[in-house]
Amino acid sequence: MLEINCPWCGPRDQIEFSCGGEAHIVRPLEPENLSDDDWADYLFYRKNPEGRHHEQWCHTAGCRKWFNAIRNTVTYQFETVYRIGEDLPEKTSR
Amino acid sequence: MNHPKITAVSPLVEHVDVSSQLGINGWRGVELEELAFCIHLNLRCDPSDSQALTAASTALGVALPLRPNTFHEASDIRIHWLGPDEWLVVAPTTDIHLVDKIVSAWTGFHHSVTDITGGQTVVRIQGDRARELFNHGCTLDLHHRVFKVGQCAQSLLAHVPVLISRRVDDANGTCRFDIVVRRSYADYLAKWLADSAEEIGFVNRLGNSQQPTSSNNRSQVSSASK
Ligand SMILES: [Zn+2]
Repeated sequence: MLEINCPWCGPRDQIEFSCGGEAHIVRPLEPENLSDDDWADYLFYRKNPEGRHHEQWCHTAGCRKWFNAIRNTVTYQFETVYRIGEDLPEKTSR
Repeated sequence: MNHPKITAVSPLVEHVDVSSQLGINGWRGVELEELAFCIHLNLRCDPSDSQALTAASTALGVALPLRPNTFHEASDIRIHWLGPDEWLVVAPTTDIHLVDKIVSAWTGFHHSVTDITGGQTVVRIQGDRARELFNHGCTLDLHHRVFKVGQCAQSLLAHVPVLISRRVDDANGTCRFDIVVRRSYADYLAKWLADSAEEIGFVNRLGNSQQPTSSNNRSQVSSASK
């Protein structure tokens, strides 16, 4: 069992959370001007890194707030968590 | 709710299990009872809007707690932190005008007030061994140095979403927890509690709540808190 740090509630057991997949996906402002490839990329294509991954999580059974986390997909270790709207603790891209 | 033909019914009315049992070594572990027919209000507003916060505390007589996982209490009204912009008010049955008070206080502010009175109930657990009961089905650390009086937390108890709050301890040092549970889960939770309290011993008064009348409901709520 993992212990996950909710940015509002503090450390809680994994069963209280649900994972919402990749974080920081921005909806295109003018979808009608996108190519099919770009639209498909926005809708369906997701990163699947081995190692550090930016994810969105929800404290489903607690405060019900969404937040962001950087998690290592190999070790399952949570590197950090931060609230929605807060800057990334450290700017990293793929 | 105040319609004369509609009778308020506790979700535990069919549970009625007024029994007691000594646990191993003759323990009298916990007492289980229901604080039925309380008024439950879900409040939401922008926590950075200090005027809205002030208006709410003036109307309710209690300030909305801003520290995560805490509750404030005054004259039988308890306000629990549910999220950074969400609170749960639990008040005695007699406070039927509470919802009007907060709605009029928040007129003009960005807010939401939802009366969820019939949708959930409060189960009270008290006794020296109350924590052991939780340990059977809850991952929260409820040790008295971690989960202090005045703190509350939403979590899962026996897979059921609940709001657990640590209440004021009485003179004997026995600890007391209130569990807010949704109506549809209440009967299952009551059965689970009775089952899991078997080894530590219990007095079960769940399901014993009578519908309050206007004259006796306050005394009923306060007698339940003794
Ligand atoms: Zn939380």
